[in-house]
Amino acid sequence: MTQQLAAGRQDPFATKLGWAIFITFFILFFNIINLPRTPLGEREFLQMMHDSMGLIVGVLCWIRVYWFVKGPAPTPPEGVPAASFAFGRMILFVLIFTFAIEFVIGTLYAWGEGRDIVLFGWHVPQMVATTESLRLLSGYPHSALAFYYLMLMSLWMAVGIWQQIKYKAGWRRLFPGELV
Amino acid sequence: MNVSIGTRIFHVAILGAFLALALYFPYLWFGVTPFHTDVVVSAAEIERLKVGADTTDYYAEELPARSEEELTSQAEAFQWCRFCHTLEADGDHRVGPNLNRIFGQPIAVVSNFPYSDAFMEFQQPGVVWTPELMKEFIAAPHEMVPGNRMRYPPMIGYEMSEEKDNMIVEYLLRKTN
Repeated sequence: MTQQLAAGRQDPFATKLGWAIFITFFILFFNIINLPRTPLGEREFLQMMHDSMGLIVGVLCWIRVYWFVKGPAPTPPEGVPAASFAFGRMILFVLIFTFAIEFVIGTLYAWGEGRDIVLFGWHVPQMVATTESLRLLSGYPHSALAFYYLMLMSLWMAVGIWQQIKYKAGWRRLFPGELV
Repeated sequence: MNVSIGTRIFHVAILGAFLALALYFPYLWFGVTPFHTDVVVSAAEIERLKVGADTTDYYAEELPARSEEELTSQAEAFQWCRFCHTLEADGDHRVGPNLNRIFGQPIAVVSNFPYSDAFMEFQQPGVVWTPELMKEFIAAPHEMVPGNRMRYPPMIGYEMSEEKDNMIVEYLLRKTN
């Protein structure tokens, strides 16, 4: 892509994707907090929400990963050194890639548990056999990557705050939008 | 962007270190492993541990009548415990063991759950889970079994109280029968 972008700005498609991921992940995160606290027999709706929102976030993140690679690359905002800006972009890329991987591992985990995946009321046919080893081998990284994305989000905020304090890069770019 | 290879390697190393920490975290924090643990305590061993213990069948005792509101409060008191424990007969182990029919059972004998060394050391003949022992444990899990992996209180700012402990234990009695 050779599209020219103003310094510190990203293209409209990346901006829209950023907002979509932010909003859908926020809903999913609320679901993640509530689901485990609900008794097993009363989880049907929350579980369907988890599967359905997980699918949306997962697909959006895979598109965003593709767009990171193929879309126009933004340049640093005024005053921010290239190395510092590149670190922030790398954190963001790995964060989105982690969400995308979580979606794949989460699907395997559900099948490993022998749990029916329901997407907006539609039952997804099970494509992998339920086994204890699949449950454990997918369940563990599903939890580990959840810790990872929380760490990445914290690091992303810390780097953004540092860039604001040191380079006056702006607070607004810590949230989704055109500014990067 | 003009960023040197050395800088990029440094960035990757930082994120890689975070990933390594994250991969270790479920084990570090909760003691869970990505492999199956085959530990079945034999019936004979369980009987040996029960010798001299309180033999009351807590599930046969009638529980106090509660209003719908009180039952809801009990369920709410237990909601954070559900992150790690299932109560149903067919529930699997989560980060903590399945607690079905836990009262009257010796310490640390639930099959296929990888107990911490601390809990294994706490296991002793003549000691079974009673509602009183459970209350004592929930009130101060790390004082009663130092080094155990249960994360309670579950988060910063969580208020523990005797009333909440009582509700949790009564909820356990109702739901693990």
